[in-house]
Amino acid sequence: MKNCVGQVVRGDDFWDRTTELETIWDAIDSGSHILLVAPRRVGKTSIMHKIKDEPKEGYIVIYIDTESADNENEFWHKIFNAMQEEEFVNRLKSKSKKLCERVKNIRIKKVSASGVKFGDGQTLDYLAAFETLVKDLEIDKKLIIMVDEFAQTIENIIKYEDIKNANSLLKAHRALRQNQKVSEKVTFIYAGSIGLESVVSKINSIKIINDLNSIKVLPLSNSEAFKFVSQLCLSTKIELREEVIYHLLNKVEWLIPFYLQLLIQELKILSRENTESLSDASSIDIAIDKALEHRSYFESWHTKLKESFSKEEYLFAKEVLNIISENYTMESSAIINIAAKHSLDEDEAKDMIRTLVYDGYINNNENPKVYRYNSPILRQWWNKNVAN
Amino acid sequence: MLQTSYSRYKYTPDEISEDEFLKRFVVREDIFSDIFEDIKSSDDSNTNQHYILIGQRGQGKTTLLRKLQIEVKNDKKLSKFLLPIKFAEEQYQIRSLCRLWEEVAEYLQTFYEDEFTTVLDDMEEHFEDEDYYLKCFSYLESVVKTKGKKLLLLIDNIDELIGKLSEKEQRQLREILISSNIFRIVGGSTKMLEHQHDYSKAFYEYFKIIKLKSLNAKESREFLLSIEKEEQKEQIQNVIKNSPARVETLRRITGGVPRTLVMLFDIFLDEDGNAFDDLLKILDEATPLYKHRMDDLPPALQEIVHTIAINWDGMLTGEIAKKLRLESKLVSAQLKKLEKYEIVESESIGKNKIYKIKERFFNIWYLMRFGRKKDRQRVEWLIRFLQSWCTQEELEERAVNIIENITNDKLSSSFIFHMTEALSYAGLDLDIDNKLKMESKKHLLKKNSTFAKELSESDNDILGKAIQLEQKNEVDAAILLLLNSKKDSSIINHMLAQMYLRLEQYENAEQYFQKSFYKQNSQFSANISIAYYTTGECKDRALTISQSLYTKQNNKINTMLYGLILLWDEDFSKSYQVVENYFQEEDEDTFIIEYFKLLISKGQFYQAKKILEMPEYQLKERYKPIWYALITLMQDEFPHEIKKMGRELAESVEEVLKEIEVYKEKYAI
Repeated sequence: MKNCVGQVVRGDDFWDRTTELETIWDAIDSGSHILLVAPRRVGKTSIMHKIKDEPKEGYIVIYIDTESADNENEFWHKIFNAMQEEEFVNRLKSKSKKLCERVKNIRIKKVSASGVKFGDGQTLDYLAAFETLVKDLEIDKKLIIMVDEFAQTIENIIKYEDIKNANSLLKAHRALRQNQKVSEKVTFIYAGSIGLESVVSKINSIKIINDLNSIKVLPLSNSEAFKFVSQLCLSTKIELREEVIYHLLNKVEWLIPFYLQLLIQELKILSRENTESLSDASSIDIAIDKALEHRSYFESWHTKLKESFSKEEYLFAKEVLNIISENYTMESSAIINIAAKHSLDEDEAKDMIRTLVYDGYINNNENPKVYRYNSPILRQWWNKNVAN
Repeated sequence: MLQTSYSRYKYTPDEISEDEFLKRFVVREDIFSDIFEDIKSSDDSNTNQHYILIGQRGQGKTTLLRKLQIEVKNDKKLSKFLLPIKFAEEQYQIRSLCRLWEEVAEYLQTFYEDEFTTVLDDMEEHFEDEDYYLKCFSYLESVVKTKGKKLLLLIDNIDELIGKLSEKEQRQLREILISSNIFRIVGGSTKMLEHQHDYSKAFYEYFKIIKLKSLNAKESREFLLSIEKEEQKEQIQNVIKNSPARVETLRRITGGVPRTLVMLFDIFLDEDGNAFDDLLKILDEATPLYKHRMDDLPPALQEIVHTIAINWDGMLTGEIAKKLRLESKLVSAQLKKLEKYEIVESESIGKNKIYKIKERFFNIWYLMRFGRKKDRQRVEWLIRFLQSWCTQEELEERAVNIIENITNDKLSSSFIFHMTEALSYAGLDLDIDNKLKMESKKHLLKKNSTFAKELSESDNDILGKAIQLEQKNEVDAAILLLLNSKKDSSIINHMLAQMYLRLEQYENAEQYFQKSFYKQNSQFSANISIAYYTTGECKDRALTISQSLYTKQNNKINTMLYGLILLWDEDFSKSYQVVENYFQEEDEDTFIIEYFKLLISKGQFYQAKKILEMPEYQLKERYKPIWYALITLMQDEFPHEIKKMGRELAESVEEVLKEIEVYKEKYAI
C-alpha cells in the first residue's frame, strides 16, 4: 500500500472499507438507486473506483465524472461517449455479448441539443436513445452507472443556464429511474464533493430526488484508522510507537484517510531530517504544523463557500466559521444572532448551517444546540488563514 | 567583444550534457528516489499520484524533472512503456487544455515517431468538429492506450499553465486527473510560494506537493564538490578541508539555494567577469517575478521589506521600528504577515527575533536595484562574500588583476563597476584602491558607461578632502565626511581616530584605533575574549565581544569561541547550534576539548554523550580521555562501557575529571 495524497486511491492502495462497500452492494442488489453522501475528501471517489474495479458477478460498471458539463447536452454526451469507449466495450465483450454487439454496431454519430443521432440516420431524444441502448443487455446482467460530481453539473447548469434546465436534467433522471424497463437493467449511483441535496433544495426540487437511497460514507473509526496508519507506516518505512499513533488519531479526530495520509507524508520528511524525532508525541504536532503550510490542500474549503453562496450567505458562513475557529464551539442562538447581522432570516440561516454540516465543516453531534468543527486540523487552518 | 554566453549553461540544467548532469546530481536524492520508486511500483490498477515540486528560483526543480526524464529512459523496464515528455521551460504558447493535449501529441509524433507516426495529424482531422474540445483528450488517450504506453508529463512552471485554463477547462482537467491513468504529471512551480498565488483551483488537491528545502551544511559541501571540473576540484577540496567556515558563510549568504551557491562560488573562481555577467543576467530574468512580489504587497509591508532588504543582515523588530519611526507592536504584527507569506524568516535569539529576507537571491536583486548609489548597499552581499572568502592579500591580488585586465579591454563595464566597489569597501591598500578606482573610472568614461558616475570615491580622495577640511579647522565636517564614506579600511579608521583625538573625544578615538588595528590583526579582539575566558572573569563582556566577532566573520576561531562563551552563559541550545559544524575537524583541537570539558562541568552529560557518539564526527574515538571521563561520571548507567577503557588512559582521564571539577566552580554563574 502506497501513501497517496489527494489522488483517488485504487487497487492495492485502497483501504478496505468493507462496511461501506457491503452497504452499497446490498442497496444495489435490492434494486434501489443510490446517492452517496459524504463531505469532500472522505473517500467517495475511491470507493466508486473500488466498485468499478472489482464488481460483483453479473454487474457491469461504468464510471463517469461530469463536473465539467454545464448543460444537459454535454452531460449526455459524456454518458454516451463513456459507453462507446474502447476500454468499456472490451470489458463488455466478456460480460454482455449482445450489448457489446449493439454498442459496436450502432455508432452514435452526434449528440446534440436535438437528441442523439445514430449511424443509421435515426434521431432519438436522450431518454429514448439511452433506453434503446440498454435494452439489449442480457436478462441476468445489470449496468451500474456511477455519476461522480453530479451535483456540480446541476450547479453549473443553474449558474450558466437556468433553473429550468437544471430541473429538466433532474427530471429526466427521475424518469429513467422510474422507467421499469430501464430500472431493471440499470442502477444509478450519484456522488460528488458538493451535496446534491443542498444544491437541489436550493431550487426547491428536493422531491425530484426523494426516491434515491442515500448512503453515508463515514470517516474511519478509531480502530480502522489505527490499522490504516500502521499499514501506511509500514509501507513508508517509518516507525511510530503505539501511543504516538493514538496521539495522532486524537489530534486528527476526524479520521478521514486524506488527513492521515498527509500527516504520514510530513512525518516521513521529519524522520529524514532527524531520525530520533519521531519517538515522541511532539513530532505529531510538528507534522500538523507542517501539513497546515500546504495551502493548496486547504484553500478550497474556503473558496468553495465563495463560489456556491451569495455574497451575504458567504459572509455569514465565514463569520460563523471564524468564530468557531476562535472559540472552538458556538451555540445555535449565537449563530442566529450573526444571521441577523447579515440580514438572513432564521430559516435561511438553518439551511446554510445544514449545508456546512453536510459539506463536512462542522457538526452538532454531541449537543444539538452546539456546533464545532469536525476536524481540529481544519479549525486550526481556518483560524490561522481565514479568521486572522 | 565581450563573451557573454559562455557559461550560462551551468545554470540551466537542460543544457548540460547528460553524463555531466548525472555526475552532478548529488543532492535531493531522497526526493528523486521517492518519486522514481513510486513510478516503478505503479501498475495498471492504480490511478497515478501526481506531484508538484515547489521551491525558490534555483532550488533544483528543473534539475529534478530532467533527472526523472533521464532515469526513466535509462530504466530497462520502464522505458518499454513509459514515455517521458518534457516541454522546454518557456513553452507556454499553451493557452488552452486542448493545446496541451495537442502539444503532447506533437511531442509524441516528433520524438517517438516510430510508434506515433500520425497522432497529431489524426487529431487535426477532428479540429473542425463541434465537440472537439470535449473529445480531444479521448483521441489522445485511445491512441496511447492502443500502443500500450503511458506518459510521464514533466511540466515546469505548471502554475502558469493552470492559470491560463478557463474555469471549465479546470473542471475538465480535474475529471481527467480522476478518471484517466494513462499519464502522470510531475510539475515544478515557483509561484506557488508567492503569497498572491491563487490556490483555489481545487485540483491542486490531487497533487502531492513537495517543497524543496535549502541545502544543509553537508549537502552544500557535497554539492560544491560535484559541480566543478577536475582542475578546480582540488581547489574546492582545499577550501572544504581547511576552511569549512567559508562554505558555511557561502551557504548563509545564498540561503542554501543550489544555483545561487554555484553562482557565487563561480565568482570566487572567476578571473574575467563572465560568471558575474551571468549572475546579472539571471537577476534580470527574475525581475518580473520579484517586481510582482513587491507590487502585490500593501505599502506598509513594502516599507518593511525595503528596510530589511537594504540592511542585508537580519534585524530586530525594535531596529526596524526605529528606522520606520513606528511602534514595535505594529511592526511586529506586519512582520508576522510577511513571515506567513514566506518573504521574511525569523530566528529566535533569546526572547527577541531577528528577521531577514528569506530568499537571499531576492535580497541580492533588491540591493542591486534599490540600493543607494555611491553607497556600499548595492554590493553589500558581494563585500560579505569577498571578505569571508579572501584574505587581505587575495583581495588585493584580485584588484591588481582587474587593473591589468581593464587595459586589455577584456572585462564588461558592470563587472568592473561592481567588483571595484565591492573590493574597495572590503578594504584595500591605499595605493591599490586609488589605482583601481582611477583605472575603472577612466575605462567606464571611455565606454560611456553610466556606471562611471556611480563609482564611489577612493580612500585617497576621501582622505584628501578630510585633510583639507581639517586644515580649515572644520574637524566636525571632516569626521562626518569620513563616517559617511562607510569605508572600513584601516587608513580611514585611523584618520577618524586622529580626528577624534583632536576633539579630545578619547573613547571614540580608541574605538577607531581599535578598528584600524583590528583590520590588520583580527586576532586582537579574539585575544581579549580568550583572556576573559581563561581567567573566568567578565563573562558578559566576553559574550559581547565574541558575539560581535562571530557576526562579523564566522570563521572557526570566532565560532568556537562564541560557542564556548555561550556555554559558559548556559545558553545551551544556541551554543550547540553555533558550533555544530566544527566537530568534523580532523586534527585534535583544543577548542573542542575545552568545549566538552565545559559542557560536562555544566552537567550536560546526555548532550555531551550524544555529540561524542555522532557517527559522522567519530569524536568518541578521537577524544578518548574526554569520552572515558564522561563515562566515569555516567558509570551507574553504563557500567559496561567503562570497562573498555585501556589502562594507559587512566591518568589523562583523571586529569580531565579534575579539570571538570575546577570548571564547575570557575564557570558557575
